[in-house]
Amino acid sequence: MSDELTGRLPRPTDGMELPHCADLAERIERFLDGDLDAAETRELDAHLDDCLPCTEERELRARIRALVREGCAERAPADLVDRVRARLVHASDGGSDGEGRG
Amino acid sequence: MTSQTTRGATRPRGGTVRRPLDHAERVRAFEAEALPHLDRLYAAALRYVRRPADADDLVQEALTTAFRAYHQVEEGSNVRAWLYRVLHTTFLSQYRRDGRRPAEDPTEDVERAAGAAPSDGRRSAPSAEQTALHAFGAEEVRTALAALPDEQRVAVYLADVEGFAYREIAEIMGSPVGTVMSRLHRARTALRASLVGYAQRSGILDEHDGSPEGSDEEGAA
Ligand SMILES: [Zn+2]
Repeated sequence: MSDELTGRLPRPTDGMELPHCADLAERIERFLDGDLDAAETRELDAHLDDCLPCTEERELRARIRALVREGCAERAPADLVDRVRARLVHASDGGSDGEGRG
Repeated sequence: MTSQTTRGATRPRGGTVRRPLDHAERVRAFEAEALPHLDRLYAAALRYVRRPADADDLVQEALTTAFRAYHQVEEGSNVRAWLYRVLHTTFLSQYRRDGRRPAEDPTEDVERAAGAAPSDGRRSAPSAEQTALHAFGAEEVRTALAALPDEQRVAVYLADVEGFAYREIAEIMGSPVGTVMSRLHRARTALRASLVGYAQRSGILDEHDGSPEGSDEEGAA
């Protein structure tokens, strides 16, 4: 029943990286971005089970994402929340008097 | 500093069955939805303008703008994504209108990133790159991110840190989904090359065969 799947993604033989592995980079990317549907994910998983290079590729890309998250984890200055609140108190909200719609 | 007059006093009363929220209630409702995202919005703002003082301003401006439009937000809609959309448009209107492009201001500490040019040609094995990447900290990544074009850096932030889907990023940035995907692709290619290049220069990753030189005694002079 998985003829179609394996037909589209032939399994690599031992130690050999099939040409289509290069094409899988895009799918790995979409997998990590949460963009693959269930069928695509199954196809990719089936391939990764047998393909070390693609597995390493996925881990590398996942690692770079994790690095980006670590690098962009700045906290706002402690008093920013107070300054925002102070501005909101004096800001017109455009809604309570029925203006500003449309 | 804007000079808002207090309009609450002249607000017409009655006419509707449901009592509309007064200003203080709107403030509270907005704060409850928006302020939990403050740290993240600030981190996002740093991807646009880089300088902490500018990011601070941008967040304040964006949240004030968002508050003014808050009554238009339908219940059950994705307020978090909308806040990033407002941040994006606020940046475009505040910083680009007068031709200023703070994110590309070369006087900042990005100069160090200039050395992080992608190494051309030769690709090292993922496992070697993987090993090298474990040596990186937040500072190296920020430097590599800073070297990206604005749109690529913002797209990567929205995808990797905020976890937005392509479609959401497209709405936030006002770009077609295909454009977002190609921005992400180019950004990640450049980021990877930049980090690997950094690893090679600092001796973490050998330049010739891409094999890692694990120990810090030999490689890092
Ligand atoms: Zn493969």
